[in-house]
Amino acid sequence: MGHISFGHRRQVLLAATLVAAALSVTACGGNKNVRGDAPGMPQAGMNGQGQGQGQGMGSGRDIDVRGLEGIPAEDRHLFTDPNNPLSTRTVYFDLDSSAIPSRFSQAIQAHGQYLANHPNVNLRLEGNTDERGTREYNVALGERRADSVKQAVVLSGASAGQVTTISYGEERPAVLGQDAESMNKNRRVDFIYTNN
Amino acid sequence: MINTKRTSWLARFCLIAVAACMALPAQAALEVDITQSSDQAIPIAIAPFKANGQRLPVDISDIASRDLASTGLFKTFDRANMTESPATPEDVNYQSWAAQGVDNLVIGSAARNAAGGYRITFYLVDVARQQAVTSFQINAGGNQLRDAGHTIANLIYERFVGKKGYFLSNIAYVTVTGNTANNRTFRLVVADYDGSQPSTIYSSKDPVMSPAWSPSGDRIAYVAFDVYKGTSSVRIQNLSSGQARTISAGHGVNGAPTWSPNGQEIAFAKSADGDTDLFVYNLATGQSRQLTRSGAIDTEPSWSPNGREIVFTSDRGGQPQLYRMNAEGGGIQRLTYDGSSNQRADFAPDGKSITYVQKSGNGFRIAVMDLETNNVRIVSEGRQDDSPAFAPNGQAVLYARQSGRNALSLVSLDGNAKSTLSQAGEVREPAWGPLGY
Repeated sequence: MGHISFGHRRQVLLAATLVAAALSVTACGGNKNVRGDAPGMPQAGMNGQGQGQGQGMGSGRDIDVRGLEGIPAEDRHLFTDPNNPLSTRTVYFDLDSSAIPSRFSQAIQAHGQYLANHPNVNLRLEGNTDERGTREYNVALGERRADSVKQAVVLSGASAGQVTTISYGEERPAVLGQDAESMNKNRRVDFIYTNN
Repeated sequence: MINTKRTSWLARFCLIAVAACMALPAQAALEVDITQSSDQAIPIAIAPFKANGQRLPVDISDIASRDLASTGLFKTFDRANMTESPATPEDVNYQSWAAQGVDNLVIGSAARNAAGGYRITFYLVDVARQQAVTSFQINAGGNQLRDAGHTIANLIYERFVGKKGYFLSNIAYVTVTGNTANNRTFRLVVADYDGSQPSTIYSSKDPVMSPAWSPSGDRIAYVAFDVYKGTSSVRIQNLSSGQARTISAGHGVNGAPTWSPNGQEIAFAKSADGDTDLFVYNLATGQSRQLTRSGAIDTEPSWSPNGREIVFTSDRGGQPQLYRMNAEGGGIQRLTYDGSSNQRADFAPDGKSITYVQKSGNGFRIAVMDLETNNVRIVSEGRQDDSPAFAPNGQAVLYARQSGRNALSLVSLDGNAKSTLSQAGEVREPAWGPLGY
């Protein structure tokens, strides 16, 4: 048998597809725990539909409850109260930069102190970029951004072991769109308090 | 004068079970549009092939004709203007073809063979000299006629261009559907070189990226994310068994896989403390070794076909630029200086040039650099072009066009011939497999 027989390959691709389909169902189910539409939970700023509704950067996610699964229920109000610096759970960046703009320092300090006071709470920082540039470079750039925020949160009192990072590069834009405003909203690090 | 190429084609055309394909979930095939042909396109007419005067179940001469036309290097003659489909050079009405301006004519026929398939005989005819220039015979199983058509195109292409044709090769790409940022489906798709016969080999609500073919075309490495866990992984999926193996996973970066030319190692990017460096994973030992330690981003490796070098993207000098080093991580030299950044190289199959993404005032465009002369040619228009991949014969570059109408674009190496592959929804990150024969 020729090892490059297409027919053979096509046949087994079917098996591969079925396996992949099963995997994606699992992954999808998993996502629902975090990203799903839990009843009664507001979603402003979560799905990009806020575009064009006048939400300013840094405030669009203030009542975003995504990513609070790891926060004790009695504390969640701290993170949803717009007057509390903990309600800022996204840091936005300039083009090609991983420097944290000074307007986020109060929020970062608050998160660092909260983590210091709650050693059992874990934070995941998700780095993202806008769509310009190549994809894998952007993954690395998003990771640099996430780590930059991690260093700042640790300096503010969190233990390094409480904070993990991941980067999605340009693969998970907050807003779909090629205009400057969309891209400004996509160069970001999101704070996700995980329960896993 | 008949060249019997029977042995190699018999090896290729062994048992086939195309029926399995029919059960695959519906997946739209990419649509091919030829947007620009070369000024020096070779005019050629491929007449319909018949079996005992009957049509074949698959129109193999049409497949071959479309293959050649898709390169932009051939100008194929419209079948509607053909007055005959002769089986042998003796049957050709040369005056009639000459009167229509046809110089190069391909004719042929098929006959059932003992194995239940077809023996296809075809001739390349020089109309002016009124004789066959060459002829070929192909044995194909009854359900392998499509591949037979591609094989005919490969033989004609090689005869005129002097390089092997890529019409039996496969591509992989990622499609993304869904209208909102949080409700999208990523699919890793494998298809014929022209986007036909697509099969989804992995799909997820979470991002999937960076497909890379193994040198033998039996496996694909790619990156999959798990958003629930906040992890990324570099996976290798066997296309025959469907089994996937994870070679690097966890928080941070696990990405940008590229195969060593012997298929035994994978170079990839991994981060520690925010710093992404290059590593090499040995498939036999399961061990990784670190190649770069720069404190800057090092990613997007491409392994030279002779195995000795790796070209990669690094921003150690500020903006991302391309660097080359030996496969052990030593002897690092900067390669690119034009434009404000240069990223994501892919080596040509002969190792003599690379294609990559160059950023300049015109946005992100695809460049090709001759590694001996350092001459650079820009072969795309921008403004958001990404993910260039050399054809396995080195004669064209396939890339993703992300501004305006999203599509995969194919451009010949001289930039003269262009075509696009598109479908509803987003198509990105094309990776081109080996020749397939």
